[in-house]
Amino acid sequence: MFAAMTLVTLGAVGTYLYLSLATELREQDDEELVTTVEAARHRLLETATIQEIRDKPYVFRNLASQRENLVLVLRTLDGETLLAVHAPSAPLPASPPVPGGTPFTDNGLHDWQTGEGTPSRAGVATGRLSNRIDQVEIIVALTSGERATVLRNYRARVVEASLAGALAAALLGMLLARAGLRPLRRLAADAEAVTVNRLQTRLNAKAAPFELQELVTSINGMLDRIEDGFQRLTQFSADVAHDLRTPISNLLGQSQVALSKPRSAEEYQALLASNVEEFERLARMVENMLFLARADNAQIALKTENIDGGRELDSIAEYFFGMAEDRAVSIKVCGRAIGADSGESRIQLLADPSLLRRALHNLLANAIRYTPPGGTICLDAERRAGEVFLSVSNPGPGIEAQHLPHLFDRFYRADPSRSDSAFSAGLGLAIVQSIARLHGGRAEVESHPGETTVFRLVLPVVGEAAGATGGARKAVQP
Amino acid sequence: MRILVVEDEPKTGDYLRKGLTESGYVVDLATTGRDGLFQASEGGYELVVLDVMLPGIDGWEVIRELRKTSETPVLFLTARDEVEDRVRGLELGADDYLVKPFAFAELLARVRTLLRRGPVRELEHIEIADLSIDVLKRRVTRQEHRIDLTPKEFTLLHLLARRQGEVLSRSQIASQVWDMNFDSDTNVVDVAVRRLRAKVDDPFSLKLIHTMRGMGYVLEVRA
Repeated sequence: MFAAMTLVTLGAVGTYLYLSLATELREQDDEELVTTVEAARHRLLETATIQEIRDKPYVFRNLASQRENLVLVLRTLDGETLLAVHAPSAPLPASPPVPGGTPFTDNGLHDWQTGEGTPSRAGVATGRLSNRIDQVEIIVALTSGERATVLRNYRARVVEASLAGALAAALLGMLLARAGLRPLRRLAADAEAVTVNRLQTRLNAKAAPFELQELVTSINGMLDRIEDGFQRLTQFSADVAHDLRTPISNLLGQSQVALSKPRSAEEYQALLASNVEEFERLARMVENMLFLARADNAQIALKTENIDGGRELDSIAEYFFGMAEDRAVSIKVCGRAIGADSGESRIQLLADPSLLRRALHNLLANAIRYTPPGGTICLDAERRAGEVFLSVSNPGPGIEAQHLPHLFDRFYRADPSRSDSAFSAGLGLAIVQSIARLHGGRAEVESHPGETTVFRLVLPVVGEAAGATGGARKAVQP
Repeated sequence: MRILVVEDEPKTGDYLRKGLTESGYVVDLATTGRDGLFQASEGGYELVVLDVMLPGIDGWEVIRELRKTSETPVLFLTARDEVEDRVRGLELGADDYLVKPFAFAELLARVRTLLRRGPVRELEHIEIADLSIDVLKRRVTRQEHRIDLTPKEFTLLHLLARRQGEVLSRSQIASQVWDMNFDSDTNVVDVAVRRLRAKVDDPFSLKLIHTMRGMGYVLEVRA
């Protein structure tokens, strides 16, 4: 491709040079012919009679004898040839002669071919003798055999040079491209080295040429994210397996112990009931994991309704009322249940009631778990800047800052020794976040150790919600 | 009442037959789609419990064929609860579906609902032993003693009384009383039942609300 382009370019340049040379040569020839005619006319004027021309032909002969392809013929108007220098045997050029009084220019010249077919330039003019009566026809021609040879050679050389140039350019181009692509090739080799087992491999940005550095950096960024996601996925599988182990081992162990010798009916019942509890735990875990997987793929159909945020908080508080009281914890729906930026007394939001309830349930269950006896959990709904904040804050030891960014990760436990996986198996907050995202919102946490911890479910407000959750809802299958 | 269970997994089939038989139904078990379709078409069943994943012809195919000749109610059992699956099952004419794993009490409740002919008339007044519930006035008495209940406690008692003799699972109770339609990992239901018992049962010698360990709660008069 590159070679072809070079060839075309060189060819065009060569053709141009060739044509201008051809024109130049012709103009030189024409000038010589004009000069010859003018010189012949001049000498005729110094000649008295036609007989004088016959007697002293050398006067005219030397006008043309120097150039062997310059044809000069002098003829009387009757057609008698007085002088012929280098004249071809075949027909002479013929054209209406330029009259003696008119200056001879290259307009009087025309293309002509000799009998042998040599392209030439030729012209015919008349010249007067000194008696101003007798006239002689001057026929000049310049057979351009020489010119043609020059041009032919030149043409051949142009073609040769073009071809050679194209070839050289192609070779050079190839070498250059090869050298230029070497960093790319290295990158390709690096990229090939990235496998599932070696995701930590990165492309070398320093080795890449300047133009590619941005690309390499963003590819590395992509690899970072993939590695991170992949690691979390791997970790997730490991966590799942680990969390399945405990209930399975309980089931296996207690059943085998029970079967090792005959027992009373009550003992068997107790065993089976205990097994049922473990199975329920397993079923819940599977259900939660499935929920998260579907939320990730936006496979959960949202059945959104207009919901009164305050009322929703009341009803979740009512649900947990007994359980909280058992733990000497109180739940208050407090604070600004009044829209901060509007006169509305109710906080309306557009959400799937069952999912919203599930998210609030997980937040509140979590809060009750970590609130010391005597503490008060505060539920709050407020509206700020086009968003509804449903918050659950509880007093307690709080969560260290290092854990906060991971709290919504699956199976993440701030306290790894805490193995009461009967509770949520570390999926509760991940589900809260999934539900928030399904609604086009987000989940937030803020903790002041020793004071309070606040979890917030942030959802777009009704009205704005239509646009804000549109994307999320479009992704959802009907 | 005769129920046909079409289920290829032996353990599932066994416990379904056993559990439903013990609940007072006459149960036949078919282990392939072909057998199930044949037996169901023969007629004589009030309900078909149909597993979706079957060898040979699957549950979808069975119900498609069955619906050409019979209107017998069909309860689908499936381990997949993708939305499309549910929609497909219901479109093909299934009357209800249940996703595995399910609580047996839940299955029993669904079976009872499907077998109940016609709309259920809500009783305005429920009398169980010395317990009396006036649904309209939301008033509860035992042995002429008025018992004060919170609204949720009343709803819970009403639910148990309405379905007396039926074991209600925790998730059924959470769903009916609090509209919580997912399995909670908390003991909220147990706490609520305990509080209800403190008011309804504790002061009296005859206990009405019973714990079915591993299954749920039931309100009934036990000798």
